[in-house]
Amino acid sequence: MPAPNKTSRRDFIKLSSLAGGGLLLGFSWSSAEVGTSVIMNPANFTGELGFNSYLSIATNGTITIFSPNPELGQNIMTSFPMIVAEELDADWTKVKVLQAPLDTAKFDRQLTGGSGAIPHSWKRLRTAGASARFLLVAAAAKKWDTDATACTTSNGYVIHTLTGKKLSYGELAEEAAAISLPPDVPLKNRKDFKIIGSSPRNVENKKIITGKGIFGLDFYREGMVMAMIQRPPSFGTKVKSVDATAAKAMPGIIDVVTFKNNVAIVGKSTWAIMKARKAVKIEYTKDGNIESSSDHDQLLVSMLNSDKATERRKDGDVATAFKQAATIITSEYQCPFLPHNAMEPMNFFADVRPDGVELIGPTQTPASARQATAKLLNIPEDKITVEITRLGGGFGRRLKFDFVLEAAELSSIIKKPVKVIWTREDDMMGGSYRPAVRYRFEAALDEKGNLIGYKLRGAGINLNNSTRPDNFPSGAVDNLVIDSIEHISPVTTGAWRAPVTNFLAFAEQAFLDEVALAAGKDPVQFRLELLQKARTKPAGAIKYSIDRMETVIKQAAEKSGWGTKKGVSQGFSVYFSHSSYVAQVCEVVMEANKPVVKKIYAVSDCGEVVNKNGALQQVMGGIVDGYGHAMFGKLTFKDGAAEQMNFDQYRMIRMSEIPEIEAHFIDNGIDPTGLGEPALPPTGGAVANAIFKATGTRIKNQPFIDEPPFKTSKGF
Amino acid sequence: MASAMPRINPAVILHLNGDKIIKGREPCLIAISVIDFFKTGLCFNFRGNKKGHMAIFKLHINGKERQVDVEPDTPLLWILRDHLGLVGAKFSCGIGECGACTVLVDDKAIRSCGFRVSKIKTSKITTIEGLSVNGDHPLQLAWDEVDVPQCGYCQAGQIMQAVALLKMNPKPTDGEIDERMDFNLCRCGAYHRIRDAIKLASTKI
Ligand code: FES
Ligand code: FES
Repeated sequence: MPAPNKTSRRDFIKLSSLAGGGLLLGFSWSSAEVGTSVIMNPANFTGELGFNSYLSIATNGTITIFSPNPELGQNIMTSFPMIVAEELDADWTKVKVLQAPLDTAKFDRQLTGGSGAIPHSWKRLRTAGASARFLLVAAAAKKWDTDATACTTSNGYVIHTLTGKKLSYGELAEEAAAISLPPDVPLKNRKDFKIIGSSPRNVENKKIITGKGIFGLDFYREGMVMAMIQRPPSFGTKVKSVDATAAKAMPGIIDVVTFKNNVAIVGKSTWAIMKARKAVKIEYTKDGNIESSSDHDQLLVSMLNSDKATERRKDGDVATAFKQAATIITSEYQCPFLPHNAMEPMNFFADVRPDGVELIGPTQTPASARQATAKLLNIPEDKITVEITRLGGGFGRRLKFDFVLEAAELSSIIKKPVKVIWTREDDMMGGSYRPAVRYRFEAALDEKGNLIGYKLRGAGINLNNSTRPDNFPSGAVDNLVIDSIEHISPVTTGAWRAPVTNFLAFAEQAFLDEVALAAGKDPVQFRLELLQKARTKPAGAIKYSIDRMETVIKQAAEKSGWGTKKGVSQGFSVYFSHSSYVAQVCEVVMEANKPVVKKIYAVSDCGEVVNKNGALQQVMGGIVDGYGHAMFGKLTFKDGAAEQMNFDQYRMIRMSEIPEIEAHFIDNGIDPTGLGEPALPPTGGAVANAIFKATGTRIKNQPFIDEPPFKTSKGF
Repeated sequence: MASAMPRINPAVILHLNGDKIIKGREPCLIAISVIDFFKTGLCFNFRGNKKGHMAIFKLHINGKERQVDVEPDTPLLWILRDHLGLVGAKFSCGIGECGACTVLVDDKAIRSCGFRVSKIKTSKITTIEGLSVNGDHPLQLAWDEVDVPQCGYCQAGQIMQAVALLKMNPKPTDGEIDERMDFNLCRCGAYHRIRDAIKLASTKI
């Protein structure tokens, strides 16, 4: 597909910086044939030749690849080049990754979400590296007048095995560019991996620890103005009148403009805007339902008794199973709304000019943001460029692009380049929350303690399907029904790290412990028996790997010394999400009559671990996140407005509150799957199950601190 | 329905004053009294100063003298970010609760989002940009070696808080590290590595 002209120009500029030539290897990021690479002669490179990304080797040996995916702390800017460098046998210190701007002609999955970047790019990046290596070896063999099989590669050099002669990749790059590539380039055997599975440091560390302006909020351009936007404080209201006379007269203020339900205060400095904002008088009027958390609580309960739920999965004959049951266990679990609270508040820069639109800032979904901007401004998409800055956290909030549209619309109105900045209050009151959900579980046991029937109903606010109907224990229970029902609310909701499963996993894993207890079985043994049942007599479709799940369960039990420790109470949890499997064991001890979470073990199967450091960060960070939010996270509403607006009223986990974490990975060589999310869902369940073991009190609602045994104990 | 915005719960001000301690934590070391706080305009019943008295302030920042012409109530954070192009100190909460904006004022860790310029006087300010010439302060090196950053947004503030901690207490225990570092939030949950990096640096200082 021909790329637009401006893209060619940009690529050409990058190209001409390859001083003295070098090797450029185009490779396909979006093609289904991930094995296909195209060798390019730099002189021909115009960006219109059908391949869609490239790996370049400059004559000084510097290796560069463009990464399409936004970096928000998942460490993609380090992990991507590791994969290339591995197959290339490159000198790791000479490999660079650059953030590619949005280019839908070149990249087909230019977003960060769903823990999907590594699985998507794994083969593409390996093939690109292996292809470049093949050419460099061929070039060296030609020079030495020998066969390629007489050469090896190591750390950025081709080595003649017999004589020990060597040539650097930089020296060979130009000649390599003239050699054509065979259709099949072999990939390394994983036992030869040196870089994949290692722990290099984050390639952006230096910039981060010296305070370089790499985040969206740091972006500055001569001539730009800044703005903050007052949005309706209550969901279900709209602007009735605005009096900005006083604000407009304040120093540093350029204008106050109202569009849709936004009142934008535009000025020269952040402080001037913050002050003037308080002088704007806005009246709001009702524009839909105005809801409070107490309304939601009632609604969720009544939805569980409704007959309007949508069936998501049905196996066997549930009614008969429950009729024949010796024991029935019923339990309900509920979680509140949560804001994302990325440390960098939402912001975006927009410059809407007659000749085109420039958008710059932190987004997880640059393509959707551009599409929506094009529609909003009625401008063709190819007139809009999007540059992606580093994201100071995303957690799903930056999958939405409301803040991009605000900036674009405001710039089009004031006809100036503008950076729109949200405050923490804007962020916490501004919607897109993890919605409140309530689940009802019912289990039927026969007289031997076998699970013969299972029902799950999920009721969510703006959550069309609050279940994951094909996840375990589906497939292991003959008679099962899973359905869901939603309430449409003006309070806006969206994806929050590990959508749905961030709470469902807790509820389900806690409930399975309730069932195990009723069946008189050990929680680990109970889960293993269910898996064995799914293996030998599956009920309906099985959409998870029984073997992989079994392995993480057994490993977590072994690593944690499950059931063998004195003085600690252990809780178990296991969950499959985003194609990865994570089992966790939480250890609680009683101190001054209060349960204290001391340690969490995690065993993760995400296939091949590309970046050990990055993987540990995702698992440990995911556990801290999962534990912190299960323990403390709660956003409530009064008359449509969020009641917690900043960190003094909304508690987030701090250093002194984190448990020790011991993380292990299964080494099975399966192609890598995601890890940005999967470690979070199991944590709440492991913690609640351990607390039950320690205290006999079953926590069913989040946040835990509002529930016994914490609610009554002082100090929390 | 009328609503003057932004709304704020009075607990914010109490907390910043240090009278109210939430959840068993110490109040933040925000270096202003409640009276100053009202005057800064950070308080939400601020009545705008329409004339906007501008004033010239000479500041000692990172070993250099810098001059700014701003309103006296401007918080140091915005002087650094908007007027001097020093964007290492970050904005996240604006109320002294997260530590993303932490800088040193005479070697003490200060939340610059609530520290107004007129209070600075002759104090010496150090930001992450001025911590070392080559990014090789022992804490910066330790941060790299332990590979602390995830998204990285909180990290400059974390490092500056840790610098103040080690100046006061070069060999802190885990408990002493936690106590000081509890002022700084990390949404990515990099706390284990932050603690490890401080311990590593403390062996080298
Ligand atoms: S921005 Fe200053 S403490 Fe949060
Ligand atoms: S590294 Fe992301 S907030 Fe700390």
